[in-house]
Amino acid sequence: MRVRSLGAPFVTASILAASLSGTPSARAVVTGADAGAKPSALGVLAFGPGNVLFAADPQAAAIYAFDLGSSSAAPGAADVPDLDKKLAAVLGTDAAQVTIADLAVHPATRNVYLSAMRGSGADAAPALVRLDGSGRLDVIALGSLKYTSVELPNAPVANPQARRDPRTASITDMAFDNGQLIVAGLSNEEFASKLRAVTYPFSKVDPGTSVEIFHGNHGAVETRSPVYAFVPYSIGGTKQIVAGYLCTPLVTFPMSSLTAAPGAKVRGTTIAELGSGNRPIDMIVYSRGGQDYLLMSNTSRGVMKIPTASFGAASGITEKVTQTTAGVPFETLAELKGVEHLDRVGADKVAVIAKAETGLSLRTIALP
Amino acid sequence: MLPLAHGRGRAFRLACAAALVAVALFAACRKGTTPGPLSATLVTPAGEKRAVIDVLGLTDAERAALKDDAPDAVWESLLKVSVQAANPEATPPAVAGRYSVTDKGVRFTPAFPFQPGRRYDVRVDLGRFRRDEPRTLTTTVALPGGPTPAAEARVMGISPAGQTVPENLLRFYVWFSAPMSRDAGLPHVTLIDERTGVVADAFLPVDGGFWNHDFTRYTLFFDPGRVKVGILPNEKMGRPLVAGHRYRLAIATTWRDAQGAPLVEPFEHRFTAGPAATSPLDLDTWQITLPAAGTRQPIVLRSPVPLDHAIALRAVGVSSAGGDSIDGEVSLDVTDTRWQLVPTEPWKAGGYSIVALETLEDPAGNRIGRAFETPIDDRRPPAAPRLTRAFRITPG
Repeated sequence: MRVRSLGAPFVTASILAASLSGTPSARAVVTGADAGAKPSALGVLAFGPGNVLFAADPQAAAIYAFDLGSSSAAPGAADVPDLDKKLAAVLGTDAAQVTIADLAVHPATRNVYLSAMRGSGADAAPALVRLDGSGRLDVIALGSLKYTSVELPNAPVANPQARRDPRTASITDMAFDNGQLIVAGLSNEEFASKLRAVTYPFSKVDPGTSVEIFHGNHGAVETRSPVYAFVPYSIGGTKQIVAGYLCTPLVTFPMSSLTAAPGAKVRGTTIAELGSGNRPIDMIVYSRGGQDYLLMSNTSRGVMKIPTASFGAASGITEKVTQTTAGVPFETLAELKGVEHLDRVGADKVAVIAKAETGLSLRTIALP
Repeated sequence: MLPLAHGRGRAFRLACAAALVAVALFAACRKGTTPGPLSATLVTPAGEKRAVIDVLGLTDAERAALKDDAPDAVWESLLKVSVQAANPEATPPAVAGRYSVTDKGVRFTPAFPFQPGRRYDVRVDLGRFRRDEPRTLTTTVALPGGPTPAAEARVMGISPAGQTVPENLLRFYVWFSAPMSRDAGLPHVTLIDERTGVVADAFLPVDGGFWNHDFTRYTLFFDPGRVKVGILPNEKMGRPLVAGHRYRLAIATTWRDAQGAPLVEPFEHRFTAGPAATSPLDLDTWQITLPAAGTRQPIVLRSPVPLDHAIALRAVGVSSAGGDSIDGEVSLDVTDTRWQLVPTEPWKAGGYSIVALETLEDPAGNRIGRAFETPIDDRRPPAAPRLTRAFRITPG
């Protein structure tokens, strides 16, 4: 094996050099048109008002608001037992060439929308696909949709040359609430998340906040960790963000902290430790028998059903946790194996994408 | 009834549309037009990059009966393009694309380019609405496979590049000479402790998304659950790096570039783990080498400890007394301790400030005025970090 060693000139090569200017900025770059959107990638999805679908372009650190208009597709979404193979066939390729990024259910038509990447090399291209009640998968022509888009501030941005090697903000989750799109962005550099409130219609982007947490497994120490899934949720009359962090603290903090003054210290309340070696994927809230529940899918700890009744009373974990999990009670649903993405379908059902040895399946089931 | 429409209203609409096509085609047939043989071929139209399928041999009447804006389900009953399945019993759905009537026949433009070497089945069925004779064509088309891409990409380097890194290192950056594929990177990376062998579960098992914008730099995060003190994985397995141990970070050629080719050669980086870095950064400890007024000499900042390479390139800057940012070329040396800015315009005599963003970190995540792991003490909340440091350039 040949061993390469680094020479000093390497660092000043053009691939590493960057230009920048000094001060942080939160300038919002908003564009829009009747057609012609060309996202470089598609990641997480969230529905907004009417037929607006928010789609993250994590590669460009931008968010598109697509106006899907009306469609004649059959309402609902049929189960697709071989989703990965069928989707790949529609995209003209095989299942190994397709990566599904997210799923979102249209609140009115209940069609399922899937974001995906077709290909992984130089030919990689984003796809938005609608699954209807007949089981038909239709590729949505992104370039023909009316849209607006907003670039997330990538401070410092005063010098355009700083964009030559910009930080990538992989957007991990989004939710629309009361005229605001809440965005959790994960940097490929800092080990932390920035949460931002983006006013819609797009006009400005708040500077965002990085919420520090007390990691209950961690002794009396504060630290940073990235957010992977969250929902806005009212606790005791106050609008809160309930966020699932890597490895897997469940944390609440007031929505108002997203617009706190720059530099303001925001510490979340860790209401549960749900296990290490894991990250949350998707999260929804639903009601059943007068009780609210949080349903959360994870990479390696199954689907968790968490009653929210004790969220308001939870004082927060401030002592070292010696067990694998701690905090508010939860139940791991044994019947939901391999579930990756999920989204609510009306008041009673949930659409899930599950992974098995034979591949991916999509089905709609009753909420547990 | 068309097999692809199941919803009631939708089925009715599609059936009506199909019936209209059927009536038109039937009428065309009754007029006595003698249809020629059908053909379907892959062509790349002049000025286009993307191959399409042209179906030729339609009569003028048949073409006239077809409408560009018919629902896709109707079109698919007349012209279906599908990926050839390994299992001949399988009936994959139609490849998504756009159907149009040309002056010679019908064109199918796929929503995503046909892939070289992949076989696509084409079935044309204009006879399904004719009552006298079948009019179908079944064929297979494929773009040439092309040569196997040659290996051209290699690992250019690792950061931190120093001989010694703190044992609580949060991440390595891996630079490549050419854009890479978006596939998972972890399967191609091995961390070897020269005393104990392969370090299992060293890295964050979350793959994808940790690329820079052009896929030439990959961020390899250590598993934070093992790095952070006191978290269960840390207590059970310890940190991935242990102070005093020597390591090799090996990258295999199996990591594919954007063309699908392997790396030209394997890469190996040797280093030693040192004591954990647990102190906050402090701008006051940096040495400043001032440029002369009227020149474009660099301003050089020397940090007593290494900075995170990628973040330091964008999270440190210089501004004038009036608050204007000084544009220029920023670089960091191989030790990650020497930062410099070569200004676009010559320096003027006057007051300036070094400005750091709150997000500036060392390789272990320690920030200005705040260590990565900070004991909670609400009785004495930490002071706001000081993110600027003033200096003056005097007239020459």
